[in-house]
Amino acid sequence: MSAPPANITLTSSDGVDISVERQVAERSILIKNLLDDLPEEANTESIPIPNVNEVVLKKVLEWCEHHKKDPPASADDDADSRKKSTDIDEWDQKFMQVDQEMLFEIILAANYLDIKALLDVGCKTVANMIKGKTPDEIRKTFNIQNDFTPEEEEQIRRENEWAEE
Amino acid sequence: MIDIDPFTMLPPELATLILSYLDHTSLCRASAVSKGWASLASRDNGSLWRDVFMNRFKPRNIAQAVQMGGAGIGKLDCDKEVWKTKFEARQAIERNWRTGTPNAIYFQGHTDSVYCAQFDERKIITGSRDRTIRVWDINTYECVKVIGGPAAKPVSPSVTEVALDCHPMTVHRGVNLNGTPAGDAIYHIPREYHSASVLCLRFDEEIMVTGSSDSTCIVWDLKTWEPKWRLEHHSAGVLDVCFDKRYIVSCSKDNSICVWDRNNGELVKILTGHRGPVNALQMRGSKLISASSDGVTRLWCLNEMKYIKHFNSRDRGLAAVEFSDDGKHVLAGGNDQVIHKYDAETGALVHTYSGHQGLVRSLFLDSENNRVVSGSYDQAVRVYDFTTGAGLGGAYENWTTSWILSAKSDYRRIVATSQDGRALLMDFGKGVGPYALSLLKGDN
Repeated sequence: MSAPPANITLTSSDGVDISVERQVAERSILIKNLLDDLPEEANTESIPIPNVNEVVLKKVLEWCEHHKKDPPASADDDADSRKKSTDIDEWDQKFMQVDQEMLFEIILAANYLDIKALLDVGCKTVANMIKGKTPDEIRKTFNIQNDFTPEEEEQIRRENEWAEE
Repeated sequence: MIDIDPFTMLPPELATLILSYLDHTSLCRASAVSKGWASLASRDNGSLWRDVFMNRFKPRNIAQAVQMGGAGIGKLDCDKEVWKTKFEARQAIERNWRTGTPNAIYFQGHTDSVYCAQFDERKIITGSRDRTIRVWDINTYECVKVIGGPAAKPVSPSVTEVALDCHPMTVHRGVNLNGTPAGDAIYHIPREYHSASVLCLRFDEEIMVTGSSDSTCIVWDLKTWEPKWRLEHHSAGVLDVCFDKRYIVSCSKDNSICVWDRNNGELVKILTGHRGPVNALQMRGSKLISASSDGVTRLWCLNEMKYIKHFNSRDRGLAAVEFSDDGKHVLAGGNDQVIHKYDAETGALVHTYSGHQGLVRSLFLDSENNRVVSGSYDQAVRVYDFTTGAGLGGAYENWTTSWILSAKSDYRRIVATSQDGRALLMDFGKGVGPYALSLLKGDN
């Protein structure tokens, strides 16, 4: 039996083949499960990733490359067992300094590819863009139209008074 | 580069995941951004509010040294719409702790000083100089049981007796049933009872242990209110008791500490070394801490049944002691009117909590909520932040008409007892509806 090939090929939604180290690609549980299911000889075939385009896929793989030595996420990660912090390590912070569309694309791709740690970093990044801001500042940040009537706005303000302290 | 509303691009489950990283203030602000955001952050999004609630109030599931009320999180399998209600309720309770504005409820019936108390979500149990133990319903405020010998049975209060002052925040003052048919009906004379003051008590799901000036402890079956064993060895009053699944430990005016087997009531070991009455005890795993009138706090190991080290207070006698849940810190209070917080490892003094103007008679650490509650001969109950030692909500001065002899707390309440013969419940659930409060109750 031959050792599994060190590199595999992924095909992005826009039809571009990307060659990547197997260990890097396996940060994605979707890809890992796929590879585990395939017979060894089939690993030379390219794997289609229909939901992620080349630019985003390359960006995601850049993250996977940096984090390839991280311990795998435990499956039974009980949501109640951890307090949620929005701390992000320095490398990931830099990595996430992209425009908003790219940021949201990374989150969607991490979700689709089942890369929990990357999904968490993406979500934390967006949460940090919301945290501590007034509703108006949030609207400006994301270019959102205020679609409340003045009456509705007043009602929401009253309902949330308890939270402002 | 265009800015985009993330929640038009991301499916609701990812939007929820993002919002679950927010604290409640940010989340409520986010709900005012647009109709779409409002719907995502509404109380219908139960999994989101569950995360926000747990992130803020999740108990660390530490073994509390003393079983008190629940953890204040209610049932985990509650309906999804109630998580926001639960959050609002806990938030309101926390606010009342900060502003120092609880409701006051007074329990009357004991005919002399009330030395000790413990409570959970259903009951308060108190012990008194009048030689009786009383069980009160913490929700209806009724006295449901009085346990004592035939000679201790109270008679009707004299008509000339003046009602004791209650604090302006009082919402209920109990009716004294002594000498009435209703009072007689709840009086229970067990096989054995204390023939002198009930000085200390602790209970868990199964048993209660009381200690008395009659030099004995009684281990009670909580289902029948009948004694299982009487623990006899001390030659003077038993001043404090604590227990876990293995041992019952008692300390006494006779300067000694006795360790008993919880499962058969037999004396296992006598720990000696204190040069004065041993006033207070606390256990944490295999470690035992004791505080004495000799001014020394001693740390013992219950596996090897031996003395490990001691902490000296600045000067005089110690009346109360507490052990943090992680065993890292020791709190001691007494004659010098302050509370010392020591590093259990190094013995170094970490903080001194000040404010009291009399002997600190009682200390309680609620590790879950990071609060320390103290009771003093200056007739005040004080609450401190355990970490910083800063006062929380000011002092509750003169809510009783005499010395505070014990005070304990949970997420929502303080129960203090006084030399004036009353137990006082301070309920920080003030202003929170009964339905919302009921959602926070555990199964116990």
